[in-house]
Amino acid sequence: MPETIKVAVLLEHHEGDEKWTAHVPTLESQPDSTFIPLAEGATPEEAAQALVPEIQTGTGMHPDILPHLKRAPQFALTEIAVEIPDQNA
Amino acid sequence: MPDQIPTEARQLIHQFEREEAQRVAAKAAARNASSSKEIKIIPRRNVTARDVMAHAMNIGCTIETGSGKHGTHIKGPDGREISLPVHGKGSVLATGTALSIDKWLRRYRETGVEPPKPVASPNPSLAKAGR
Repeated sequence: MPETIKVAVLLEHHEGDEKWTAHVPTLESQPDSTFIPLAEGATPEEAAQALVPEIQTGTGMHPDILPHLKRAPQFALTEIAVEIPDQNA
Repeated sequence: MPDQIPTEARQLIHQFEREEAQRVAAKAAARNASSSKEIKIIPRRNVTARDVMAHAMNIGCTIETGSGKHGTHIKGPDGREISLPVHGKGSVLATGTALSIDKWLRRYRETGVEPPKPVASPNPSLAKAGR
Protein backbone atom coordinates (compact mmCIF):
# COMPACT_ATOMS: atom_id res chain seq x y z
CA MET A 1 0.00 0.00 0.00
CA PRO A 2 1.68 3.26 -1.07
CA GLU A 3 2.09 5.84 1.64
CA THR A 4 2.32 9.58 1.07
CA ILE A 5 4.52 11.40 3.53
CA LYS A 6 5.30 15.07 4.01
CA VAL A 7 9.01 15.84 3.90
CA ALA A 8 10.45 19.13 5.15
CA VAL A 9 12.68 20.60 2.45
CA LEU A 10 15.18 23.43 2.81
CA LEU A 11 15.75 25.45 -0.34
CA GLU A 12 19.02 27.31 -0.71
CA HIS A 13 20.28 29.82 -3.24
CA HIS A 14 23.51 31.82 -3.35
CA GLU A 15 24.29 34.94 -5.30
CA GLY A 16 25.73 34.12 -8.69
CA ASP A 17 24.29 30.58 -8.82
CA GLU A 18 22.04 29.53 -11.66
CA LYS A 19 20.22 26.95 -9.59
CA TRP A 20 18.58 26.38 -6.23
CA THR A 21 19.50 23.42 -4.07
CA ALA A 22 16.84 21.37 -2.28
CA HIS A 23 18.03 19.72 0.94
CA VAL A 24 16.37 17.43 3.49
CA PRO A 25 17.76 18.82 6.77
CA THR A 26 16.52 15.93 8.90
CA LEU A 27 18.76 13.60 6.91
CA GLU A 28 21.74 15.95 6.51
CA SER A 29 21.79 16.47 10.28
CA GLN A 30 22.10 12.71 10.84
CA PRO A 31 25.80 11.86 10.85
CA ASP A 32 25.03 8.20 10.14
CA SER A 33 22.42 8.70 7.45
CA THR A 34 22.79 6.08 4.74
CA PHE A 35 21.42 8.35 2.03
CA ILE A 36 21.42 12.12 1.50
CA PRO A 37 19.08 13.27 -1.25
CA LEU A 38 19.90 16.54 -3.03
CA ALA A 39 18.34 18.14 -6.06
CA GLU A 40 18.72 21.30 -8.09
CA GLY A 41 16.29 23.41 -10.05
CA ALA A 42 16.04 26.80 -11.71
CA THR A 43 13.35 27.79 -9.19
CA PRO A 44 12.67 26.69 -5.59
CA GLU A 45 9.64 24.74 -6.79
CA GLU A 46 11.60 22.94 -9.51
CA ALA A 47 14.34 22.03 -7.03
CA ALA A 48 11.80 20.69 -4.55
CA GLN A 49 10.01 18.63 -7.21
CA ALA A 50 13.32 17.24 -8.48
CA LEU A 51 13.82 15.84 -4.98
CA VAL A 52 10.74 13.57 -5.21
CA PRO A 53 12.23 10.79 -7.39
CA GLU A 54 15.48 11.00 -5.43
CA ILE A 55 13.63 10.36 -2.18
CA GLN A 56 11.56 7.59 -3.74
CA THR A 57 14.71 5.83 -4.92
CA GLY A 58 16.48 6.53 -1.67
CA THR A 59 13.77 4.98 0.51
CA GLY A 60 13.75 1.92 -1.76
CA MET A 61 17.49 1.35 -1.35
CA HIS A 62 17.82 2.67 2.20
CA PRO A 63 14.51 2.13 4.06
CA ASP A 64 16.22 3.11 7.33
CA ILE A 65 15.98 6.79 6.30
CA LEU A 66 12.17 6.74 6.41
CA PRO A 67 11.78 7.69 10.11
CA HIS A 68 14.14 10.66 9.62
CA LEU A 69 12.25 11.79 6.52
CA LYS A 70 9.06 11.97 8.56
CA ARG A 71 10.60 14.13 11.26
CA ALA A 72 9.76 17.83 11.30
CA PRO A 73 12.76 20.07 11.84
CA GLN A 74 12.39 23.48 13.46
CA PHE A 75 13.20 26.36 11.18
CA ALA A 76 13.51 29.95 12.27
CA LEU A 77 14.42 33.04 10.34
CA THR A 78 14.80 36.27 12.22
CA GLU A 79 16.52 39.62 12.03
CA ILE A 80 18.80 41.23 14.58
CA ALA A 81 20.19 44.75 14.77
CA VAL A 82 23.98 44.81 14.92
CA GLU A 83 25.93 48.02 15.41
CA ILE A 84 29.22 47.74 13.57
CA PRO A 85 31.94 49.84 15.21
CA ASP A 86 33.78 52.24 12.94
CA GLN A 87 36.91 50.30 12.05
CA ASN A 88 38.68 53.47 10.98
CA ALA A 89 38.16 55.50 14.16
CA MET B 1 55.77 85.20 19.49
CA PRO B 2 56.38 82.44 16.86
CA ASP B 3 59.85 83.88 16.35
CA GLN B 4 60.67 82.84 19.88
CA ILE B 5 60.19 79.12 19.00
CA PRO B 6 63.53 77.50 18.42
CA THR B 7 64.16 76.29 14.86
CA GLU B 8 64.47 72.67 15.98
CA ALA B 9 61.08 72.78 17.72
CA ARG B 10 59.51 74.48 14.69
CA GLN B 11 60.76 71.65 12.47
CA LEU B 12 59.28 69.09 14.82
CA ILE B 13 55.94 70.93 14.75
CA HIS B 14 55.97 70.99 10.93
CA GLN B 15 56.84 67.30 10.82
CA PHE B 16 53.98 66.50 13.22
CA GLU B 17 51.54 68.57 11.11
CA ARG B 18 52.63 66.77 7.91
CA GLU B 19 52.22 63.35 9.52
CA GLU B 20 48.86 64.31 10.98
CA ALA B 21 47.64 65.48 7.56
CA GLN B 22 48.79 62.20 5.97
CA ARG B 23 47.04 60.17 8.70
CA VAL B 24 43.77 62.09 8.21
CA ALA B 25 43.99 61.65 4.42
CA ALA B 26 44.63 57.90 4.75
CA LYS B 27 41.71 57.55 7.17
CA ALA B 28 39.37 59.41 4.78
CA ALA B 29 40.47 57.23 1.86
CA ALA B 30 39.86 54.06 3.88
CA ARG B 31 36.43 55.32 4.92
CA ASN B 32 35.51 56.07 1.31
CA ALA B 33 36.65 52.64 0.21
CA SER B 34 34.58 50.86 2.87
CA SER B 35 31.44 52.84 2.08
CA SER B 36 31.79 52.34 -1.67
CA LYS B 37 28.63 50.94 -3.24
CA GLU B 38 30.62 48.66 -5.48
CA ILE B 39 30.00 45.09 -4.37
CA LYS B 40 33.18 43.10 -4.36
CA ILE B 41 32.33 39.46 -5.07
CA ILE B 42 34.94 37.07 -3.80
CA PRO B 43 36.02 35.04 -6.80
CA ARG B 44 35.24 31.39 -6.30
CA ARG B 45 36.02 28.40 -8.40
CA ASN B 46 32.98 26.92 -10.04
CA VAL B 47 32.73 23.26 -9.10
CA THR B 48 31.40 20.96 -11.78
CA ALA B 49 29.88 17.50 -11.47
CA ARG B 50 32.93 16.19 -13.32
CA ASP B 51 35.26 17.70 -10.67
CA VAL B 52 33.24 16.11 -7.88
CA MET B 53 33.17 12.70 -9.58
CA ALA B 54 36.94 12.74 -10.09
CA HIS B 55 37.57 13.73 -6.48
CA ALA B 56 35.10 11.17 -5.11
CA MET B 57 36.66 8.34 -7.09
CA ASN B 58 40.10 9.45 -5.93
CA ILE B 59 39.13 8.87 -2.31
CA GLY B 60 37.58 5.46 -2.84
CA CYS B 61 33.96 6.29 -3.73
CA THR B 62 32.13 5.00 -6.77
CA ILE B 63 29.75 6.81 -9.10
CA GLU B 64 26.39 5.26 -9.82
CA THR B 65 25.01 6.85 -12.95
CA GLY B 66 21.34 7.67 -13.01
CA SER B 67 18.55 5.73 -14.60
CA GLY B 68 15.27 7.09 -15.91
CA LYS B 69 13.87 7.41 -12.41
CA HIS B 70 16.73 8.69 -10.30
CA GLY B 71 19.86 10.74 -10.82
CA THR B 72 23.53 10.09 -10.34
CA HIS B 73 24.72 9.06 -6.86
CA ILE B 74 28.10 9.00 -5.18
CA LYS B 75 28.52 5.80 -3.18
CA GLY B 76 31.02 5.58 -0.35
CA PRO B 77 33.07 2.44 0.39
CA ASP B 78 30.69 1.78 3.33
CA GLY B 79 27.58 1.84 1.14
CA ARG B 80 26.33 5.31 2.07
CA GLU B 81 25.07 7.41 -0.83
CA ILE B 82 24.48 11.03 -1.72
CA SER B 83 22.76 12.50 -4.77
CA LEU B 84 24.90 14.27 -7.35
CA PRO B 85 22.61 16.50 -9.41
CA VAL B 86 24.09 16.30 -12.88
CA HIS B 87 22.83 18.52 -15.67
CA GLY B 88 25.60 17.59 -18.06
CA LYS B 89 28.94 16.61 -16.53
CA GLY B 90 30.44 20.04 -17.19
CA SER B 91 27.59 21.92 -15.56
CA VAL B 92 28.44 23.99 -12.52
CA LEU B 93 26.91 22.83 -9.24
CA ALA B 94 25.00 25.28 -7.09
CA THR B 95 26.97 26.44 -4.06
CA GLY B 96 24.66 24.69 -1.59
CA THR B 97 24.98 21.42 -3.49
CA ALA B 98 28.77 21.63 -3.72
CA LEU B 99 29.09 22.43 0.00
CA SER B 100 26.83 19.56 1.09
CA ILE B 101 28.64 17.04 -1.08
CA ASP B 102 32.02 18.32 0.07
CA LYS B 103 30.94 17.96 3.71
CA TRP B 104 29.68 14.44 3.03
CA LEU B 105 32.93 13.44 1.30
CA ARG B 106 34.98 14.66 4.27
CA ARG B 107 34.54 11.37 6.16
CA TYR B 108 36.22 9.47 3.33
CA ARG B 109 38.99 12.05 2.97
CA GLU B 110 39.70 11.87 6.70
CA THR B 111 39.64 8.09 6.90
CA GLY B 112 42.24 8.11 4.15
CA VAL B 113 40.62 5.52 1.93
CA GLU B 114 43.05 4.80 -0.86
CA PRO B 115 41.75 4.26 -4.38
CA PRO B 116 42.02 0.64 -5.53
CA LYS B 117 45.44 -0.01 -7.03
CA PRO B 118 45.56 -1.47 -10.54
CA VAL B 119 46.46 -5.15 -10.60
CA ALA B 120 50.04 -5.59 -11.85
CA SER B 121 50.14 -7.36 -15.18
CA PRO B 122 52.48 -10.38 -15.29
CA ASN B 123 55.88 -9.55 -16.73
CA PRO B 124 56.30 -11.72 -19.84
CA SER B 125 60.12 -11.64 -19.66
CA LEU B 126 60.04 -13.02 -16.08
CA ALA B 127 57.53 -15.69 -17.06
CA LYS B 128 59.77 -16.78 -19.95
CA ALA B 129 62.81 -17.10 -17.67
CA GLY B 130 60.77 -19.39 -15.40
CA ARG B 131 61.00 -17.08 -12.37
